[in-house]
This record gives sequence, structure tokens and C-alpha cells, in this order.
Amino acid sequence: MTTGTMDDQSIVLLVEDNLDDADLIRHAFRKADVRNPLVVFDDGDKAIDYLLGREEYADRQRFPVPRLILLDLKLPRRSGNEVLSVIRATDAVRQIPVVVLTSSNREDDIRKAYDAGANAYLVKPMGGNALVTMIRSIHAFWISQNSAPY
Amino acid sequence: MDQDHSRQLRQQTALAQFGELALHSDDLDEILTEACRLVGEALGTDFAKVVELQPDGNTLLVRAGVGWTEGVVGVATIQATDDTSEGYALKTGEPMISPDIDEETRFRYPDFLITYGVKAVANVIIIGGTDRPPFGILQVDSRVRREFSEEDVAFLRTYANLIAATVERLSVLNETRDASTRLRLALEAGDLGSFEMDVASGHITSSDRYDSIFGIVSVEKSWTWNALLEQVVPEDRAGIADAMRSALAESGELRVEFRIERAEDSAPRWIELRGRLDDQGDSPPRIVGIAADITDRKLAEQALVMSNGTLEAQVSERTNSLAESNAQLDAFAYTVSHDLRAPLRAMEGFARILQEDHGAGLGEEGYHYASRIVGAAKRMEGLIDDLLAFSRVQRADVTMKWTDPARAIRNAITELRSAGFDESAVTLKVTPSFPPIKADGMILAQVIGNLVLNAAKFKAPDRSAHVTIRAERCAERVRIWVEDNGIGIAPEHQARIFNVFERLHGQETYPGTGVGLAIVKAGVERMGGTCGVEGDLGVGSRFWIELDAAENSAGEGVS
Repeated sequence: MTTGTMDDQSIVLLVEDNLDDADLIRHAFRKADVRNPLVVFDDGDKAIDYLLGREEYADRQRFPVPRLILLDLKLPRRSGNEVLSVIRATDAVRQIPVVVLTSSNREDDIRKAYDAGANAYLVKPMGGNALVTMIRSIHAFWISQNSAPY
Repeated sequence: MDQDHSRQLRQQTALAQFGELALHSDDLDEILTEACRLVGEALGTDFAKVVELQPDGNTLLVRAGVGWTEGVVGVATIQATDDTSEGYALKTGEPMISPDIDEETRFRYPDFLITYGVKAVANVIIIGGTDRPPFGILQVDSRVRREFSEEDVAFLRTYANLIAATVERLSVLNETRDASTRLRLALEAGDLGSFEMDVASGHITSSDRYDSIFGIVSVEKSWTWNALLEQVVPEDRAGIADAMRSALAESGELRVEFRIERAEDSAPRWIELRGRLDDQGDSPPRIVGIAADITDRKLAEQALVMSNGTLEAQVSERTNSLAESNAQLDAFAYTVSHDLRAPLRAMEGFARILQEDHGAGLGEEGYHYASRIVGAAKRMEGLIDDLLAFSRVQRADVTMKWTDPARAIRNAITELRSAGFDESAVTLKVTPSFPPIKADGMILAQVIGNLVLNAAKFKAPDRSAHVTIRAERCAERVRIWVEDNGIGIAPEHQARIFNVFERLHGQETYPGTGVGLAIVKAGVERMGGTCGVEGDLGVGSRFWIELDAAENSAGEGVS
């Protein structure tokens, strides 16, 4: 059981195909002073390879299991929900908390994401420091306060 | 004696002839006249006649006779009162003999008898059929005074009885004819053929119409059940055979529709047979019934079924295409919410990063432009939000229920508060209770929320904003008013402010997307209501929505 601190170096995996959003999130991590390394994948297949430790990600020392996954829903090829389903069906990684971070606030998307096994569903905010604030709370809750299984 | 003997012989010969006539002729007048002739001749009287009792039971009409000149037969009548010999005969049923009417003290005699110089009269009654009044009287009249012997009376009675039997026979015959004429006319009027089938042999006796229905106008009328079955199209044969079996074994009633092939037609014709089993009488068991060509009716029915089918297909096709276009709209709305927002977020986010992290390098002007980018992005986001709300209201499933407007108003204000609505800037007055209405609670809350936002937004610069929400009942409807003391709307603009993207002010004075009131209108219309605005420029606006009232009992329709 691990409880994170500000100095916790466990990684956060971000699956996000929109590079603007990825940059904004990265920037927000810095602004919020969240120091966990952010590993970003822009498609679901690569993210799954990483999570399963396949191919070039076989070395778990270099490519450790993430503490938290931030998952966009609308991805090329494999959708966010499909990635989520694979995670939940794979023993090695199925307990990792997954926070869906997406543009859509459609009820249908929300329901489906929880069905697929999401732990939380956040809509990407706009304006001001909303994103920084959100990243700060994500860190506070999921990394600092939450007890992770890994 | 000799004379008597030859008279007797004559009488018997006459009787035999009459008997033959009475059996064979259908003409009652001929028979009656001949009877009169024969009895007159045999009895040697000058006159003989048959008087027929009329339906009034009192008047006797001279129906037939001999010896009379014109104006008597078919014309003269006698009233059968007690003081006439006729009345007496009818009443007693006994023969009445008056050898000399001048000496007769019991009866009066009709004028025409006196005029013809009648002296002696003999009357015998012609009885009627079972339970019927007498037919009338057979009378012989003589110009000379004379006696009538017992033989003469017996002779007259023989004729009278033969006439009675003949009258009965003819009346039965006429009734039968009438009945069969009625039946024939009815069958013709219904375009029905009639048939009779001997159950044992299957032989069918048929009417002409029956024959033409089955398509053969042949001289040879030799129908049988098996021949009929052969004409039936193969797939209907089992049905008609079953129907006949059940009629014979169980119900006694045949009722079946089937198709037959006729040489002269390109398509089979629909026939209906209806019959009853008659196995009670003396004759061998038979099925008696009618046949009808119901092809036209069947074709009409099929056309109806087909047009119903076509209609259903069209409805389902349109429903599908509607569902499809709804799905497309849904996909469109998703695209708008997701894909249009992403670049906006980037514009706003990066512009803000420029301001915050690189403000110094930008200079004052650069900083200002970055602010403009942020502002424009935020307006665009507002527009997207409103458009999405507008599209949601138009497509949402509407569930009309008993609704307390007060509750919808509370929900609306809570919603506004959580969206950052500054309540302190407005004095909001809501009447404590509202008549219940039929509405969709979510849509109603959104409509009222938009009206409140609108009222608060267009506040007059020189006075604090007051917004009042109240209701009034108009017959079956309830009108909810949202009134403000804001800048108001000139009457000439009031009609168009509910249109989407319609704005009356520049962004600088009153920023907005022009969608809020369009959402109000769409929402109210989705709930089957109407909306409008009153008021004038400078004095404030009174917006109203009108919806169906609900029963005042809170129990109704609440779920």
C-alpha cells in the first residue's frame, strides 16, 4: 500500500490524442506543482502496449506501472472505453485508478465510461485556472490521499 | 221415373265434368261460373250465382253467375243481415229454401232479385277452409214459384262443397306462388343463386343464377358436389370439404368461402356458399342454401389490407428516417460539444499561458490582444453551450406530468446559482403558490431559468432590478408571468426576440448569444404551450408562458 506525497515519483499515464490538450495538461501539472512524471500516449494501442509491458515497454524498471491513468474518450482507432475495458480485463493492471478526462458531458458517454470501469469522470474545463485547479485536486485526491494498490 | 233417371244421369255427368275442371283449372272465376251454369241447367232455374263474403264479414258480392245481364256479376252486393235468407244461411250453415218469396215472411230480398222477377230461391253455404269464415253462398233463383227437393238441395251442397275445396286448393296454390315469387325476387335482388343438394348422392339442383355463378350456362344441368369440388382451386378444397363435413355431422349449417376456376376467367373467383341441413321432413336429407359471387367484396377487402400494409410500411419508413435524422443530429451535437470545444480550449488556454507566463515579453499591446483571444474564445464557448441547450430542448423526450410551478422555479434558481448567477443584483419576488400545470419539470425549469436570467440581464442602468414571478389561471390554461422593471422592448421588436440568434443590443452593452429566448420558445412549444412578451421600452418587460392546467389534487399523475 502506498500513500503518495508531493515527492512521490510514481508515474501518471495520460492517454490523449489532442496535442494541445496534452500540452495544456502538462503545463497545468507544472503550474500545480505536481511532480509525478507524466507519460503521454496519443493512441490507445500504444497505451495498452505500455500497460501490459509489451514490446519495447517490457522493462518494468524503465516503464513502471502507473499510479493513475488519465484517459480521454475520443481516441483514434481504439476508443477510450475500449482501452478501459482492456485494462479492467487484465489482471496485472486492472486495479489502477482510471480518471476519464474528456470534452464530452453527454449522459450517454458518462454512463458508458462508468460501465467500462472508470473510477471518475471529469469534463475538461475551460477558462482561467480551471484546469490547473482540476489537476491540483486530481493529485491531491488520487495520488496524495488515495491509497493505491501498487 | 224415367225423367228422374235421365235427370240424375245428367246431373252426375255434369258433376263429373265439373270435378275435372275444379281439379285442373287455376281460374276461380271460370270454375265458379261453370258451377253456376251446371247447377242452373241441372235444376232448370233461370239464374244461378255465387256470392262471396267480403272481408268485412257482412257484405256479399255477386262473384259469378249465369242468367244475369250486365251490372250484377262483380257489382251487385247483398248485406248479410239477419232478415235476409243469405244472412241466415251464413249464420246457421243450413240450406235456406224459399219456394215463393211473395209468401216469405221471414226475409227481405234485395232489389235486384225483385227487378229480375225472381220468385223462388235456394241457398247453400260454401264453407271456408280450416279456421276461416265461409267463402260465400251458392244460390239458384227461379222466376217461377217452385219447390226444391231434398235431392236438389243435396245436389247443390255437393257443388258448394266442391267449390269450397277448390277455393281452398287455389288459395294454397296462390300462397305458395306468392311465397316462391317473393323468394325468387329476393334472391334476384341479392344476386344470389340457390341450390339444393341431396346428401346421399351429392346431386345438386340449382337455380339459373347458381349456374351462371359457377360459370356454366349449359343445357345439361347435372351438378354434383364432386364436380363442384373439382372447380375449387386446390388450396381451398380442404376448407370447403371440412365445412361440408361439419355441417352434416355437427352444426347443420354450411358457411364457407372459397375460390373457383372458371373457363371464361383469367383469375379465380371468390364464392360464398351458405346452407342449412334439412333432415327432418319426409324427403331424404338435403342441404338447401344460396351461393353468391363475392369476388368484388374480396378484392375490395384485399385492396384495403394492401393499402393498410402500404400505409404501415410508409409510416415505419418515415419513422426510421426520422430516427436516423435524429441520430445524425445527435452525432452532430456530439461533434459540436467535443470537437469544437477542443480547439477553443487550446486558444483560451494558450492565450492565458502567454499572459501569465510571458506577459513581460508581450508588452502592453500584446497582453491586450491575448486578452481579446481569451474573451473571444469564451464567447464562442457560451454560444456552443447555448446551441447545445437549444438542440437538447428540441430533441429531448418530453414527459408531461402534474407539476407544481413553484418547485420548477426553485429548481431553476438553484441551477442559476450553481452556474454563477449573482442573486444579489436582483430583487426576485415569487408568489407563494401556483396553480398546478401539466409540464415536463426539467424543461419548465430551464424555460423559467432563462426568463429570469433574461430579466436580470436587461436591467435599467438607473434603477435596481426587480423581477416578479406570478401566475394566473385562464380557463384550462395557466399563464406564468416573469415581469421586470428593466429596459423593456419596443413593441415593434417584441415579435422577433424569440427567434434564435436574434439580438437587440451590441455585445458591449448586453453580451449574449441570442439563443436564450429561443430555448424558452422551443421548450414551451415542446410542452404544447405558448409564450409571449408585453411591456414597452423604458418601463420593463412582462414575459409570459402559458401551459395546460392540471387538476388541483396533488395526487393526480404524480409519479
